[in-house]
Amino acid sequence: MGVILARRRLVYVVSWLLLLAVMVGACGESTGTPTRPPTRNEALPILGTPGAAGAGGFTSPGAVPTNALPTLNLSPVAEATATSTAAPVSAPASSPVATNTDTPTVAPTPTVAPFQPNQRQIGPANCCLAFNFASDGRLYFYDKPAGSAIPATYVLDLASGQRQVLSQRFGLFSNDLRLVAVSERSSGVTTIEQVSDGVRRATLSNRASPTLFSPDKSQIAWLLRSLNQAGSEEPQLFELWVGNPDGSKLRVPWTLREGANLAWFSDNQRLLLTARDAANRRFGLWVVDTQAAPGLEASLIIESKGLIAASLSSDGQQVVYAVTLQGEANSGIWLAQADGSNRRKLEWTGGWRWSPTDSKTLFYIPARAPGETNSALWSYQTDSAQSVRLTDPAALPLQIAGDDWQIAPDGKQLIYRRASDNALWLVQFRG
Amino acid sequence: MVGLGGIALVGSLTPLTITEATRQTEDKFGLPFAGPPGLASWSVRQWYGNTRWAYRQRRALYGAGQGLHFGVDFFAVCGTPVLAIGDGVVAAADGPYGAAPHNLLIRHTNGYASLYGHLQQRPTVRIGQRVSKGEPIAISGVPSGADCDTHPHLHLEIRTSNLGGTVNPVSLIEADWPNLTLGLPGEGLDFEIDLDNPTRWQNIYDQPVVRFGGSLLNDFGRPWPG
Repeated sequence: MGVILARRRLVYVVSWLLLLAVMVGACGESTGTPTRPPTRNEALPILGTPGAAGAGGFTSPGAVPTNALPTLNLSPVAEATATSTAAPVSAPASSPVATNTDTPTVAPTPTVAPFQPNQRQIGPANCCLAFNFASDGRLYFYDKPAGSAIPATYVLDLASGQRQVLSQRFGLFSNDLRLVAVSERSSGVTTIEQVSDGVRRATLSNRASPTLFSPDKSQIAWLLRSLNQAGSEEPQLFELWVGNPDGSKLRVPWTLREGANLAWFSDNQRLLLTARDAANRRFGLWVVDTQAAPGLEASLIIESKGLIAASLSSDGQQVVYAVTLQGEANSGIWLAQADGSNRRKLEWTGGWRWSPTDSKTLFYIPARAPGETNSALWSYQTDSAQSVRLTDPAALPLQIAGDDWQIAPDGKQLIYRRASDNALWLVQFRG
Repeated sequence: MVGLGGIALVGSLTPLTITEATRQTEDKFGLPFAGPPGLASWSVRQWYGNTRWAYRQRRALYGAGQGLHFGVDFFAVCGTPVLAIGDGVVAAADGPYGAAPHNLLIRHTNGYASLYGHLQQRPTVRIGQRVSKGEPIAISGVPSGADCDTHPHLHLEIRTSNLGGTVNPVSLIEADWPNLTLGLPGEGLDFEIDLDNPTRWQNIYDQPVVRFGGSLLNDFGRPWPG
């Protein structure tokens, strides 16, 4: 009898191991699957794995990490799959290995409905300009609601839909919404103000140039367009200014041409921008170290013409940039380390945002192929080169106005402006 | 970046009659480039209307056009063939319509005229020549004073019949307009915000008609960016 029971237990354990092996195999586990351009309308092989590629996501082969091998001590798990045809998997409530009972319990696990990405309108047509997220997750924007006489900067609680006035001022805010740099054309100055009480910390005579706080708001920077230009169509000359937010230690570490896409590194010391040198000879992506010795501040990390956009990962270790009109081989969206090394061209074209929570994840919305009317959100893992489609354009049409979208700090929500009417929409793409 | 140089905006050509019925029954115009947009080929880099770039150049480049960008800029490699956006007749080559160094004006049967600017060379089509929608008519280039590394583009206007104003090409050309920017950002793709009236002219479809010689429409008291 003991032998029989032992055999039963053995058969049971082996059966479960086989079942799990089949499940893992079905996941298409493969870290070597090459990335190929996403075909927007195709149905990707799907087996969502909550917590791995994102619950409810549409996962490409190989997107399941190798450490996702299940243990036998399975807790209730919803194998979220949008098109799964497999019968619901019943997992044992407790580990069959650990049981000493003659008849192992094989109780069906309650099935949890797979997460389905969804969207809803959170702002009326033609509202909510220059929207962005604060580091604490608050959505803020500038608006003049219908019936309101005074426009203001608002914060919106995404859960309740309630909005409240943050400030009647508008400008570039610090990540924590405690400071705002208000650039006023009429006076030609930028004032650094406390949002809570309006107390002015500094007045900068910078011809009202938009002024950018570093992540910890210990530094500020702006690009000042020179008044001394050869002509309005010729490469424009700029000065890069940096300093303290109280207006002290202002200085010009670099003079350049055609500066754009200015961004602080997370170290609050270096800046990234697209530019040319003042002599108009060297084009590309530059890093300026504000603490470097004079004359050594600017480094050209990517030398290329036609560089129109660039942004840093949340940890400042990687950069993505777009190159245009430089031939098929050189034009495209590129990924590199922030020192310019390990460049590689990505196999999609479109707008992108780095994940606020994961410095190796890039969200992107590919340009639509001819005939496609709706866009989709994808993610790209920079370490594994895997793309995952997160929303289905047929089930969840995204009609985004240009590049007007943001990812929430939790990495689960997207806010976008709808192209047709400027209304604001929220997409919950992960549960 | 993207502008016009030395524009003389009102022509002496005989205006054609436009009726709403004519407009509605005519086929829409087409795009001025062959093939889909792409980072290596072409894309829209400045919209018509109240763009941020136009705001900064509202006096220098666009003063005669009420401060607005009165066309759409398609970035393209210098030397890219430009196509007629509709059937019509060549009305002028290198006429007094701005968008130097070379331009081309075509009259269309629906009453509008299309102007192709910043061409690389004087167009070889003859005045009075009939052209068909999609027919190559010119070569794209770059504004005078710039070089092909600095914002090479075609400036495309759709003018009213008397040539005294422009309308938004987005409403007249059949295209998946939001997709033509490839989802990328740019100063010419964002609209200047009037902080006192922030919802006005913030959409590619909602932009004002320009009347040459009119007063500035975007000389905002509290603009963003300033």
